[in-house]
Amino acid sequence: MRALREWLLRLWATVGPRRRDDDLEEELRLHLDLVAEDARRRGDDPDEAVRLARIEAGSRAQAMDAMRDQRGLPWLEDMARDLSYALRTLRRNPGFTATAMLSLALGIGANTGIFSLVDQVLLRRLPVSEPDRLVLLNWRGPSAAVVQSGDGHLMSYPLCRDLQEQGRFFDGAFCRHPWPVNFSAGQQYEVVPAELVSGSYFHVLGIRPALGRFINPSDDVDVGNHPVVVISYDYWKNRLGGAEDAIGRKVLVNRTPMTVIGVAPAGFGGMDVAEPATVWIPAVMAREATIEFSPVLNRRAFWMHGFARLKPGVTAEEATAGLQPWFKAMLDADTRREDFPRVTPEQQRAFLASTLEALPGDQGWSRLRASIVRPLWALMAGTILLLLLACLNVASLLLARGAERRQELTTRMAIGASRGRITRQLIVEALFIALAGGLAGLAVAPLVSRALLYFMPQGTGLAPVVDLRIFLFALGASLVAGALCGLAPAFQAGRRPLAASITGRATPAGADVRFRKAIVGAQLALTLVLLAGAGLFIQTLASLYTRERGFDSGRLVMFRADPAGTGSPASDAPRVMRDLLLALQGVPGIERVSLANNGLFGSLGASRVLTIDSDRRIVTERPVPMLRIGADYFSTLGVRLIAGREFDERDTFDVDRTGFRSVIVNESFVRRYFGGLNPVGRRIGFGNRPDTPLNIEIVGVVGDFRRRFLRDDAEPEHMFVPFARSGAVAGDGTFFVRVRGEPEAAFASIRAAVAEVDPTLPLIGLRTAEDQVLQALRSEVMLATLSAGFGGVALLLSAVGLFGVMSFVVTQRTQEIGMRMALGATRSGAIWLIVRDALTTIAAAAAVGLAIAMTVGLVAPAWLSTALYGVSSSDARTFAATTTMLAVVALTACVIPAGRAAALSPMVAIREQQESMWRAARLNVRRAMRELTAVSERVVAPGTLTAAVAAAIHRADSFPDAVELALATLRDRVGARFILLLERAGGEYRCRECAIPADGLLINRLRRYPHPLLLTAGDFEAWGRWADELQPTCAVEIAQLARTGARMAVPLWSKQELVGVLLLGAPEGREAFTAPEKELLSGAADVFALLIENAGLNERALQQEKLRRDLALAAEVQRRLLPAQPPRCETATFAAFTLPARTVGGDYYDFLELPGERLAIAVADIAGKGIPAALLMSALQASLRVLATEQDLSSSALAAKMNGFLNDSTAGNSYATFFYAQLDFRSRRLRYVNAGHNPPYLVRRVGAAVEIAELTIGGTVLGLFPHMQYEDGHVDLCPGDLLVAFTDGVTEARNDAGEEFGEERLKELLREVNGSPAETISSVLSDRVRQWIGVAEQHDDVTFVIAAVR
Amino acid sequence: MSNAPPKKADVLQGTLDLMVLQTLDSLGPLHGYAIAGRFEQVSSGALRLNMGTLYPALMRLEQRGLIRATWGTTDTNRKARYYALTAAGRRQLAREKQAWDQMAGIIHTLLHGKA
Repeated sequence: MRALREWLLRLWATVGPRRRDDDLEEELRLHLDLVAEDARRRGDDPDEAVRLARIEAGSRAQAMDAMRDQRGLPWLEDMARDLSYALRTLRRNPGFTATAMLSLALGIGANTGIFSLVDQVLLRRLPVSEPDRLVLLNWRGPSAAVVQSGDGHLMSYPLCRDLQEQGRFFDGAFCRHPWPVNFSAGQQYEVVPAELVSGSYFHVLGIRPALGRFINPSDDVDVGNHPVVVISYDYWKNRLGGAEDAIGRKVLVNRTPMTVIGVAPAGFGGMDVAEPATVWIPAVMAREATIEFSPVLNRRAFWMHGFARLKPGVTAEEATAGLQPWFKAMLDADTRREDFPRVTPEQQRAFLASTLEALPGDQGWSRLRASIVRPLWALMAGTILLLLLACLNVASLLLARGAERRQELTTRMAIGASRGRITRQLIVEALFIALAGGLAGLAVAPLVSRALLYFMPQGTGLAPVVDLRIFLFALGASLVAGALCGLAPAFQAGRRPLAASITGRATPAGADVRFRKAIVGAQLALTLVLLAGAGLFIQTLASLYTRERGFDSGRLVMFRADPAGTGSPASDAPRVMRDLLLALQGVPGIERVSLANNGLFGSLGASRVLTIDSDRRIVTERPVPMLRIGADYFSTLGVRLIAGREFDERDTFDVDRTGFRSVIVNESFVRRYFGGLNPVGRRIGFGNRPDTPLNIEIVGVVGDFRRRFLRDDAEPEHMFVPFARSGAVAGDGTFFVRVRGEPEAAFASIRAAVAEVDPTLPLIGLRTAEDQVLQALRSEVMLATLSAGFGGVALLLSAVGLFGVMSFVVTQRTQEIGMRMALGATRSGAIWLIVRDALTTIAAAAAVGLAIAMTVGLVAPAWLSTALYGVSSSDARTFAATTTMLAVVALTACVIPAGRAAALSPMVAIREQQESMWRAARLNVRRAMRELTAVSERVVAPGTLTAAVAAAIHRADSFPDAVELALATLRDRVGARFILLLERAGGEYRCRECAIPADGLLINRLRRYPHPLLLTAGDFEAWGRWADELQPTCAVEIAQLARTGARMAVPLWSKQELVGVLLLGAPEGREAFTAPEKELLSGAADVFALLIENAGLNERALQQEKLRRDLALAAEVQRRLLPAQPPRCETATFAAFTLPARTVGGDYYDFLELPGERLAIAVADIAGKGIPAALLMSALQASLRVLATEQDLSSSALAAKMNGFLNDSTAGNSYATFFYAQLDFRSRRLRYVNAGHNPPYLVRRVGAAVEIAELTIGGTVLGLFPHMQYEDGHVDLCPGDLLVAFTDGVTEARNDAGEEFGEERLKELLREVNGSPAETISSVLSDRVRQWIGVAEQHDDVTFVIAAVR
Repeated sequence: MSNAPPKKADVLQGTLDLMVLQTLDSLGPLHGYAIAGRFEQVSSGALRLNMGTLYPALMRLEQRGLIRATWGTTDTNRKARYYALTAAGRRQLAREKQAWDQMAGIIHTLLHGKA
């Protein structure tokens, strides 16, 4: 109780008013003051006492923290803070936020929308008591049915009655039959779904009526004698206005008066969730309810679904097993019944082997469910992939932003946010996006559901609802999505080292790019899987649509008419139908008209067992579906007539009391029962008794046509009988109209013709046969359309993702691209560079995606092949096409970034990069400042000094600016005459005005006692006296401090380090600061300390970054300027080698082919480092290349010209040593000039000895002085001579011990290897130098050029 | 018992509340420092409370409605926050005291045999 009160108060303190921080602080201050007071009373030094108190009583800051934690609920505060922070960040980036939310809204919306239907169709259980205990009873085996109505899980009504007696396993059983009835409760007729139910139905389901009573067993006794109905809650509410007196009302069911006895509870729609019933009618009223179906008590009529309720504790398996003895006995007894059909012994055995099984019945029975379960799951899988893709998209966006936000995050870490805290922050942000996206997704969901419902049959009870379950699903999906999205950036933030990321650029962003590429790759792979699925479904649809149907759907229009439905007398129906036919036949533009009792691709209607007079008297093995058709039916539909004739007027409307006289059968029928022989003229009879009269003549045979499913491999046997028959109560029928011209154009004239016969007669489902075909293919159309839609969205998402990453890559590689273009790369080369980069990602993704698609295709062929038609689940063509499509779209997405790369002008690229680096730095500073402010706002109560200082920083553009502003603000707020910030620099703390030693008096004092220190003129005086006497070394410092006139010194601490000191001048109009002012300043000191530390870090990182960039650029320049490989010729072999030091030197060598069979060899060593050296080197190369090709320019003249050129370019600030030689292959003369370069060696064997000459003739280095003269040297080369030019990096290479490689060692080595080809010498030489350097640091480039004369 | 100086005693978990309540009951309204001083006094200096322990505990008791705080002034004219027992606090104290005595009795018997 007390704890609850505490918790509530803390909660209240978290969200509402609470004790302010300064209130808490005041209490602690009192505590410390009293400690000090006590100490004074005891005679201790008060400052010392306070220090001791602090040690003893704990730090005030820590106590403050503990109190703050106790005051509110810290975790809630943190959470609220994270959330409000996330909100602010998201509001600042509306583009990002919108994109991310939209992606997730699409993903979550699609999932939720489809789940809503999955839930309604596949997951939800019947709203009855204990649905778990309901079982659906299924007859397995041949049923010996003579009449069959409907499909799946059927049994006869008498069997159902038998089952009710099975009390050992069941608490009751019932059966039901769904059927649409013409229903009228006073106004007009309408067709409503009804359930014909056994009397036990409601009792076994265990539900209560909303009004009145339910049908009970006593209403289900005598056939035709219980005209009562129960109506649905919705019908009662909507049509009867929820009238209390609805009970007892008379209603008409197919024109039979019945009485309403009860109203079903709200939400109950019978056993088929997809087709909820409006009316419940006792099964014994079947004849009245279904018009033509009468054999209710016939054991051979299979038309009902049987359900039972298991006894508590009995499982379905136990019931199945336990029922068999009774079932077998029942079967046995049945065969002895008089009406049992005559069957062969095998048929009888098969019949006796039938079993009755109890299947789970908690979801009732639904035809729709059976047909839609797979498409729905397939779509669900597709949308889950889509959501995953959306998550990847958002993760990728977050990563991209993470790169931008690194500075911010680092600052937060620097001021004490833990890594976990940052991670949580990022996840909260992602979760927030996901939840917002999920909310938007809830709005999208009904649209998706609606789109799905559009492809489903009309009149299902399914609706695009969003209820609690759906809401919870969306919530769950959002949370999962949010966690998925947030993980990547959180991971990224978690592993980034602090200092490295302060500039946001200091570490190469390669890891980032790789991470993002991996994400985009995953997106592309998923997209490919979705696209491949869509491709397969589209292929399936196309195959089914173009499949031979056996009839001609072009120019064919159909509609249904139901004269009895409008309330006209049932006996009138045949006349109305006939009038309609005649009226339509008279319409111009109509070629032919016919009718049938069923349309295309719908129910097959009733089936009958036949006795056939083939070569002998045989009985059909299964009931044959029967269609009643009018005259000219086949010619109207365009079905092939194989033998005999169609029905004509004689057959159809000639009422004959003995029943049908003529029948037409299809090809399958003939194949099966006549062995393919022409059956025209043979006779058949309905039923299978020995005495069944064979009084119906086969008058024609027609080709098979698809009546039911376009998918069926072979059409089953069908028979067709004349539409009208004796004693027909009423007849609804489907009219088929073959028109001339556009079928849609005929609609109006058809309507007019019908209106002429009966203006009130509605044309139900007037549409073209083409439409009907599409209706029949709706689940395929649905799969194809929606999967293509998902694929499209996926493609879009990943294209956007790829675009983002490639743009990022281009930005990152701007420098490199500019470099390459500066060095001669073409535009197409630049494009290729980016495209190649993208291609690797795309190729890898395609490979993974294909592998997944193939695996799915191969692992689940059974599952898939039922959903597919005319295409294999691992169809190579489909996969190839979708891969191509993906590749094309993906490459298109790279075109813009690649184009941008190509449009770069080289100099702009390089300059812009530098520029953007500084811009980025400026932005980083701003962001850091903002962050600092934001953080301090949270820590510091508003209105305090610290807050003011922090707010001032906010305006800053750079760290020095920030410091400046902060100082000014502080000075104004405390009213000090001046303020000085002494920063640590080497052994001092200094500012412009003064400097004090780091080991001096003041600093030591502040170190010992880390709080602001009040100073007075008297203090300085006393210190001065003390110093004069005891510590003369301090006198200077004290004098200096006294000169400044400071009245307070504030130490700036950051992480146990004194980073600076603030010196404040006396307050305006007063001589000294007060103790509270002192306290105030210790808070502000923290902000300063942080600022100084960050400034230092930022500065250092920026400098490092600049250096790194310079070096990278220089290295690239150099790499490009050196020749790729040495020249080849007959006179000599050449080799060159260069080993760059880590910091760039400026070694250069070149081979140039000159006119007149000459070759120029150049080696240069440029002084300086970084960009300047690299640029000088490129200038040197350019001038050399221009000058060298000038004919008749001697080496010395060349050197002189180059000296002038370099001197002009560098204004004498830099120079290069240079060796240049021209080798004439014909004369073997080497002319050279040595401009201050290490003398190259000419190694020549003279007899047994090896002599080494140095080529020294020339002049001084290039570039230092204008107008220098150079001298030419020359040597005539002999075979076996070896020329080695090198830079000082070779001879000055130092080993670990600091020892130089030296000229002697080099000469020794050259003596050894003399005589080998240049290539060999080069490799020996480079190995030796490398070995020499070993683990030591290499200070300079090592370069040499070798020519070995043959 | 050894002659070693009393060691800094740790506050037994859960006893701090009882100690605060009892102190306020016997001495009337006190500020935080005085409460800490009283603890130190009765423990002969063995029990010195960290501010970070004492003040959050006072806040918790206040939130639970067992004590009430008001700002007043000390004899030296300093602003101070005085804590006083509420009726609920008095009842709580009585309950806890009884429970403590009972527990102490059990422990004592356990440690030293028949009392």
